[in-house]
Amino acid sequence: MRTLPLYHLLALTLVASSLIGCSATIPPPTQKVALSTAAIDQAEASGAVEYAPVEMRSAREKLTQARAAMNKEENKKALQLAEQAEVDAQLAEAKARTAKTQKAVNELQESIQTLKMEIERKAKP
Amino acid sequence: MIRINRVVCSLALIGISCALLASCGPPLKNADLEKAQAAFAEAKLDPVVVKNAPLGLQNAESSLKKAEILWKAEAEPEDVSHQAYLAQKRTAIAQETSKQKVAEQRIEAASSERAKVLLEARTSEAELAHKKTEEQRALLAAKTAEAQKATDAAKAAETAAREAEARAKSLEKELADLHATKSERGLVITLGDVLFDTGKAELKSGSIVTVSKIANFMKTYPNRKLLVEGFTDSRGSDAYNLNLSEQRAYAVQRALTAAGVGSERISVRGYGETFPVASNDSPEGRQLNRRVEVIISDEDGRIIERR
Repeated sequence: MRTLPLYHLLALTLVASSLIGCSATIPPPTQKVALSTAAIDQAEASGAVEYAPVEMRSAREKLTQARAAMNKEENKKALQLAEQAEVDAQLAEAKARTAKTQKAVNELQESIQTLKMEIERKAKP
Repeated sequence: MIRINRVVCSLALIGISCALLASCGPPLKNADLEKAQAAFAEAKLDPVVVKNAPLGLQNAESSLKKAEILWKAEAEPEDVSHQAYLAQKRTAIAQETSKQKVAEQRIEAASSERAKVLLEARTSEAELAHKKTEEQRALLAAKTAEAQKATDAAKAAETAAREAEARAKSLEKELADLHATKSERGLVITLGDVLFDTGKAELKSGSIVTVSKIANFMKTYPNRKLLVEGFTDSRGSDAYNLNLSEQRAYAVQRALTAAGVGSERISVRGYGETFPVASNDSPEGRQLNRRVEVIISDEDGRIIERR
């Protein structure tokens, strides 16, 4: 009965190690951080601060955290944070573009309405 | 025996634990992965997103597949969650891209509608302007016609005035030919007794010129009428003189009728020796009293009777 936990433990550690797989060393994700920074800049340029503030804040916070993680040599965490910051910035940019386009649609339709009314008024003698 | 049993037992346990692990397959559920799967499935079912953002959906799908592979390989939950997060956000990006494309299409449609409306406006404006021009042209034409009419009327009035003047002049001339004199009763032509033989009522041939002149005058002025009055001197009885004066007046009427003047236009009176124009004491005076006066009516045919 004493040997039973030993075998058991052995089996479990075998399985666990195979699941985790390679937790090989990851290089500092400087490139990804740079890409995220660029994505955030681009999103800001397309008005995302105004149109998608939640996503923008999230992106900025994650980028800051990514840089901090990289400084602590937590490279895997840094890479994931940088990737998430990038995708957040991209979503913010997409939302801003959609909102701006939609705004343009509304303005155009409004102008058409105004034009129609004006024409109707003119047509009446 | 006991020892063998233990070995068998432990081997069996390993087998069971392996079987357990295998039967569990991908063991623990990952909430983030399930959320991402649901979000992606929804986007994939939307034909608008499929049509407008195929690339975005592809990106989302590859992230989702990575997450699923990690999960199946029982990687660390935080790694699965990370890939699931990326998949979910990329799905959202695909949806936004689709929305933007739809909005862009609306802009295109609205732009062409705007152009159409503008064109219609310009067309209707042109029509309105054309209508206005036509109206103005019609107004101008009407005014021109009116002016022409006024001019014509003025000309007609002028012509009428000239004609009236000419008529008046010719009347004057004709009357002068007839030796008519104006009196308060109208124009009077006195035919002296030289036209009659003494005591006779027949007109002498010498009177024909005067009679035809009067007849011509009456033809020219068909509205005018005549009153023929006969007078004598004081010699002879009143009854004789009255009769003679009447007969002489009738003779003049007959002559005028023969010359073409309708008898209904000629009234006849005999006044005998009344209304002398001179003294009956001298032969010259008596001669002046023996006379026939022809009175021409005004244009309305009125003659004031002698009283």
